Amino acid sequence: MQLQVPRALVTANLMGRTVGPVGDVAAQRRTVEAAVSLLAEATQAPTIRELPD
Amino acid sequence: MTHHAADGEGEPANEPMSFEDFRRSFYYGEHADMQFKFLNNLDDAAAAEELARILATVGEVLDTGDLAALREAVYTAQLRGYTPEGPVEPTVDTAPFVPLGRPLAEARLALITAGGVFVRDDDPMGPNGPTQAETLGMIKDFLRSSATLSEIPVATPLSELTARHPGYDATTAQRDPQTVFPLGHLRELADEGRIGLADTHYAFTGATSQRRLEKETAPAWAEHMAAQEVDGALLVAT
Repeated sequence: MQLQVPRALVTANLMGRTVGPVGDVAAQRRTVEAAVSLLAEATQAPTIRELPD
Repeated sequence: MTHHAADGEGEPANEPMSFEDFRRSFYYGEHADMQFKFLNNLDDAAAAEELARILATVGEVLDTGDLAALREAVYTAQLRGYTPEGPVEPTVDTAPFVPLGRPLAEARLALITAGGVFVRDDDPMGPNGPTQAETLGMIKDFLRSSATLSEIPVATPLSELTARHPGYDATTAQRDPQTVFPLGHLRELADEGRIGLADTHYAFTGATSQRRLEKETAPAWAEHMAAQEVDGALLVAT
């Protein structure tokens, strides 16, 4: 099933490590900050961002 | 190349295994491996090309220690395996946009992962639930069933979290749950006063009946979270 989504952050991480690699606290934190920012900053659907951009 | 197959007398017999059988065996077969099941989606030539490139990179990484290069090689192969040919029309084409409505620092955010994370002492499949390896053999059961929502209190130590999932290799999340459930990072942002967090966060196994998820389960979860005065949710796919 393919879903249209209002907001999405697409990360260039391996399957099953969406937020970042095991133990890579800095990379994980970058993903979380980008996701939270997207939640607040998006003004219309669909807003799709990529990380790294 | 040979593989073992049970013959009529119960003894394993060595039979030739074609390359096609080999690449397909990563998809819930003899070599089931959720990190490489994408080989099932490629044709023989593409699968051979990607495997050769990954192995060449392994050879380099043995000397250089540059794990990022190996990650990139596998990621590129996964992307090739999962990227559909041509445009895809979404089955569900509605994407209602709702503004957050209040500053992040005043919002109650909830984290939801499809990565099958749960509190070790609150296993959604009971105290004797299957292992990650066992769960691969249950993929069809998962895809026919409704998902269970695990509730994870905001203060739960990361060390108390584990994961199980028949669609990706959840041993990664067992090693570090923040790869798919970054609750610790969100707690840090909350401590810094940048966001507010709900009292409870959530996880389910994304390998589930998608129709039930769309029509029954997810709407009920959304109602539950709205009743908990959740202003916004961060959903993590695997």
